[in-house]
Amino acid sequence: MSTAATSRRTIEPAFASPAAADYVAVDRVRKVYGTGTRQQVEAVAASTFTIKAGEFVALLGPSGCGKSTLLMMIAGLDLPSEGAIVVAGRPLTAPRAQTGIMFQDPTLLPWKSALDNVLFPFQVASRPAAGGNRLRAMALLDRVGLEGFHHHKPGQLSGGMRQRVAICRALVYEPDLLLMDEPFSALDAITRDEMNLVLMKMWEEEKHRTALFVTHSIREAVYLADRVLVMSRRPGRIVEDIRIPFARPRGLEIGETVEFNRICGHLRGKIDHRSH
Amino acid sequence: MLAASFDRLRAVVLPAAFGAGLLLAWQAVVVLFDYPKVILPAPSDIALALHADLPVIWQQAIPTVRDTLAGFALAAVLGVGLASLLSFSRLLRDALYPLIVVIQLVPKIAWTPLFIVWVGIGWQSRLTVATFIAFFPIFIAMMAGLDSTDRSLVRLCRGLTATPWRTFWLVRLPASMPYLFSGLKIAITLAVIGVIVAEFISSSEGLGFLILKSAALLRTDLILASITVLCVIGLASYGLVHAGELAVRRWQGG
Amino acid sequence: MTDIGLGLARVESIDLSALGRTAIRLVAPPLVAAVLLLGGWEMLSRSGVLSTRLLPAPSLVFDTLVRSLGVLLEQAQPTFWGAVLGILLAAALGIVLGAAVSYSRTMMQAVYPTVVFFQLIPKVALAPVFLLWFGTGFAANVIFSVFIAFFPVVVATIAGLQAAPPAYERLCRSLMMPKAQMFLTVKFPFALPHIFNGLRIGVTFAVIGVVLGEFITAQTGLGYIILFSANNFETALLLAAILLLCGVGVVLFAFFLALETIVMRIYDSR
Repeated sequence: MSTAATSRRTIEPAFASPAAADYVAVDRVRKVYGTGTRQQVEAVAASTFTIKAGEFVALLGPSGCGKSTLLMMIAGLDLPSEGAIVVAGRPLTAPRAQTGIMFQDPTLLPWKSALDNVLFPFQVASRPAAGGNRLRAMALLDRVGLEGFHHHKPGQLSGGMRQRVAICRALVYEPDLLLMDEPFSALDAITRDEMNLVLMKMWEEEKHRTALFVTHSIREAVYLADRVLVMSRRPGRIVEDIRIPFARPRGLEIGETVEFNRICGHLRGKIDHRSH
Repeated sequence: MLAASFDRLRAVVLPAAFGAGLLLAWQAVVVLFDYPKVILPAPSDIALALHADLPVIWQQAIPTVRDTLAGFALAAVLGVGLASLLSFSRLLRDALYPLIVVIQLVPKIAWTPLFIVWVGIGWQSRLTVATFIAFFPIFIAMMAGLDSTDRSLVRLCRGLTATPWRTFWLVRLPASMPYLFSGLKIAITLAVIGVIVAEFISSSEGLGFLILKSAALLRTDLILASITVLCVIGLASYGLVHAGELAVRRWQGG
Repeated sequence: MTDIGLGLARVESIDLSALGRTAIRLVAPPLVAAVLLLGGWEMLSRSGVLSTRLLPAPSLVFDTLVRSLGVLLEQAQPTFWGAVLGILLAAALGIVLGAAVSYSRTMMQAVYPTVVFFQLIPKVALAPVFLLWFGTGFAANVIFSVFIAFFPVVVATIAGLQAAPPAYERLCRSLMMPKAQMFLTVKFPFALPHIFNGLRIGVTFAVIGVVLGEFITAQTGLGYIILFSANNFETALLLAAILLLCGVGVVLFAFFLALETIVMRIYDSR
């Protein structure tokens, strides 16, 4: 199957207009695990950055650097030890309804069909899972290439297909902020490329929702994002913040360009550099 | 620092408080409603009986512990031995494994009178019942453990032209240890049950005998005192198996 | 053109003849072994090597079963219904209490060690106390049966309610799902296989509870028949009663297996 969408869209600037306000502001956020001075582990060192509305930001770092912890805090699922997070102008203290999340595991309910899993957020919110919502869910599944699989159970789907369902579930209630925690890291390289394309297509079609994508794959970060933040080894701190200049829509072929590889090389150098 | 130690404290204090609360409530109910000691002795009555009759209980505990441990040991040898044997022969395994699984579905306690018919009312029948009832979980767990061995490890051994015996000794047996111990843990509690039931049905010694005799004499406090000692025996033997598991795990370096 | 085609969905085709061959390979060896064992036993008994008092021939056991079927079935009634009541009450109590305890972390921390303690101690030793409390009738047997069948169910329920992977809890929290709803829609379905495991163990315990009560009170039931025939060295009758008791166990076991199949079809993961 091919992306009919790519031809429909015109080329746009890599990031939203300069007028766009900071949608997510992370201010000197620090996370320390454990108690007592000796057992304390600093997972995230004081980190400050902002994400503008409509921007797709990748948070890149080696395994265990605290980038997932940072994402969980922005999701409101974990609280910072110090510092503050502001999302859409409001200080964050708990999960908010307008955030969509994808985890490393698809976390689908094994006894529900693909469609019912996509409709799960409505079930949770006691909102009707019929009518317009149901049509939207079905349309989303079709757009990620799951037409004909609406009534399959997760056990009958491949790993990539399950993550497609999870993408739909995160988008179905039209969140303004999309948080993704290494959603494709358990997939094989070929499926992963496919999933990057699907995600890119869905994001571009879904009116450029603000997105934060955590990954340890340099190429994935550069391919997907408008901006890449690099986190150092534990305790994680932001050591680089660069813009990715490629125009959208992007095809996988940009991965072969010199510019792409030059950016990847630069980022690799930043990760390897030990900052303390 | 404070939060962590508080958490650790909770895990100890809460269950202890709950247990103490249960005992207190029991004591209070007996005192408040003035239950006769024959029906429901208070924990304090049980403690008194435990103190006064300890020599009797102790004397009866010895055969119970002896038969339990002997039956358990015999069951372990038989269970591990048969499972190991079956792991060497595909045909034997296919023929016997399903039969044993079916037999173990039978309520095994019900066989006790038959064993008494076979080997008499002495310690032999208690030993037989304990062995019989403890055998199945050990055998089944050992079979599952031997089957659980990482296939690529077995293939590696074959690639290194190891004999089936070497493969068994170096790979399959160590891999089955976690399973074996989960079976042994079930087996040790069942062995105690088997001995007690055999003593209930026909015996002139052991804690089961003492419990039944005390019931006939309406000495409910002595019944519960005996059961208290039996609980200690049950927990101690379970602890023994658990310690064995920890030792094996340390030896295996896990 | 880029391709976002699907990953391969699992395709299952069933080869019927291969299925038949597998069935034969699985069923034939134990069947042959069973026939050999029973045949050998029969021969040894007939030739007089095994005394009929100790181990009567299978044919004699079968004869006795047929001849005494009326009495045996009559005595099987209290045993069967006692075990049925025992496991049903134990299931209801165990699942409800297990869920209640799991609902709060404090409750869980307080109660769980006590439950595990009761799981480990030899509860059958309490049978005489139950008979002292509740008399020597049917009710006492049922109550004792509930008592010992309850613990595997409650332990399995508590363990099962912890079985949902933590990622699901995070998902529910991110969707701002109320705790009660998360319990019912996510945690409970994940607990179901564990609960059915506990119920299967509970069934055998329920039967044991009733039979043990019958052993001790010696008035009615298959347990009484077994004890009675052992005292009179009527070993054939004893084995026939055990056979019928197995029937009781299998019927109960099959009932819960069927229930499990139906429930798990609703929560089928495929």
